[in-house]
Amino acid sequence: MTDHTPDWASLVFDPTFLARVDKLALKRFGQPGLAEEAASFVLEGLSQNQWAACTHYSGRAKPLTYLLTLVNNLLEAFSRQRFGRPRPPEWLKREGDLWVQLWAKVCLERQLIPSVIDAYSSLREPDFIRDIIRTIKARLPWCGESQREIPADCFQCGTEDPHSPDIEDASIAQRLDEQALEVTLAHLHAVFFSADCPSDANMTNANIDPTTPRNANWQALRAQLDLTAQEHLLLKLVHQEGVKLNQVAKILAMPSYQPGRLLKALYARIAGALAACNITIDHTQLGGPDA
Amino acid sequence: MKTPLPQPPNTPLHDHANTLLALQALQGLTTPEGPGPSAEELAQLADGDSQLDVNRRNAIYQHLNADPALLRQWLALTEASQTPQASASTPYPDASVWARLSQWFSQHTQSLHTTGRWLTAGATAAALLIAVLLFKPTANGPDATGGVHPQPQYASLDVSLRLNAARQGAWAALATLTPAQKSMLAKTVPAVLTASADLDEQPQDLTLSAERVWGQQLVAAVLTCQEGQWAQGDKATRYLRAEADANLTAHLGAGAIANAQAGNACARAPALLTALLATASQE
Repeated sequence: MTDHTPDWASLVFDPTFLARVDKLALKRFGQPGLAEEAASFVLEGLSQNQWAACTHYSGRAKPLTYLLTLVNNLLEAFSRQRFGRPRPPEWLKREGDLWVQLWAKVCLERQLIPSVIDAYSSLREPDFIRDIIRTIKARLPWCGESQREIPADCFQCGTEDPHSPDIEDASIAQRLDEQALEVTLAHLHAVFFSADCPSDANMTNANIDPTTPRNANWQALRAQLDLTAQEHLLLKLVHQEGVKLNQVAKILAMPSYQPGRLLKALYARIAGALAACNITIDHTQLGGPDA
Repeated sequence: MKTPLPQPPNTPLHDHANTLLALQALQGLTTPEGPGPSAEELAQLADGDSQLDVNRRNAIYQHLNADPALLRQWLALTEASQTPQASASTPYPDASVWARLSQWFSQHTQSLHTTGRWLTAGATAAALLIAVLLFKPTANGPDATGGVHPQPQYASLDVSLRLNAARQGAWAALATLTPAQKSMLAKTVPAVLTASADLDEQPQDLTLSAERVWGQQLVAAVLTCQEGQWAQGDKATRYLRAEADANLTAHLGAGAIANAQAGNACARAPALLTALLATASQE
């Protein structure tokens, strides 16, 4: 045992840590029985083979935070073992990982919506979560209905089939045509591919991925945007993950006022980049309150 | 019915739509620099560790942007690590009560042991156990305020029934042990011999209760202590899981192990079991 190797047994079996594992499991799975099973799975996973799971620890992180990383990984492993690997519809994946998570919890694991919203609300805006769930349920009528069978295609158990079914109810999709952001964006996407972007003139064939049609348009917008990794992450956290601004500041180790200011500047840059590529969004088509 | 557009509060819709479009354009933009972050680096990032090099931090941000599963893992970790230790109370009130109970009880037996009153520890501990059981709070009772205060309604609890259930649990656990294990236990808990001899004559109460599980755990905890298996917590957990009800074991089992382990309580656990079995033989 090296100097920086903590006593994993005493850390894990500390009643406070055990309570924390229980709480995380309950938050992850919603149902007490399932959460207890998951917590048990986590403890076994951590302790088996003389705490083999912890052997990569080198002493740079706090032991407890490191353990929490492993706990979260094991909870996800338990979920995969119990529910299989979910195969979300393509349109859901395009919206971001949060949509996929919520789809899995509400539609596949059939967790209660209020408890799902509650589980996410410490980091994210509850209304943001609620609206996503509402949209998913509108597009997938079977979702969360205990008397309706979950389509078998929604699970991928052990196979590595890269194709995911795009389950859609045509009539629902039609109904949502004018309001759903996803549909609008898909439309914009198509428009975008045919947009006349001045930056095209400077692009050489070497910069274009031949497998992607009209990739130069994307490249041009990317070049215009020129975001740092942190700025990119900030936008993802706020617009795709629905993380509250005060939490974003904590997560990115910024002063609390900074995310708001950065976002304001970024919105202006994005609008400028779109304008430079002659892309105009007709916001009246989005159906929002300020449309 | 119109489906509302999920968007961040206080953000104009056109900014939200523009941003989503930009994010789509950025998808798969670059190959992140360097290897993906290790679990430890993610932990460092979640802790806001300033030791994490700026370049490496940016490289990790790139990985987070490129890998949804990693982003999910990181956000979950960030959320979990922000939960204050003090508020990480157990979601299972009964387990909390029993965990506290056994710990409190162990502490008392320890103090008796260290003051040289070992011979009377068993009887005193039994009395303490009765006292604690008598005032065992419920989830809606004094537990909510963090203190244990006697309430009139608890006075009517059938203490002997509770003790009996705990003993039944201990007996049930003893019945599953090998002769070698029993003999090992008997070295520090002589009452095991008496209890073992009576095993066949005892009615087996199959009703699962927190008290019964607690008795089972006590035997397992002492045995595990004796075998010096604390480094292999899974062994005790497996044992407990096999013995106790699936709904209770995961939490209570771990709690009992923790209680026995905390503060070198291996020395105290035998006293607890002695007390329980000694009470049985007195009746």
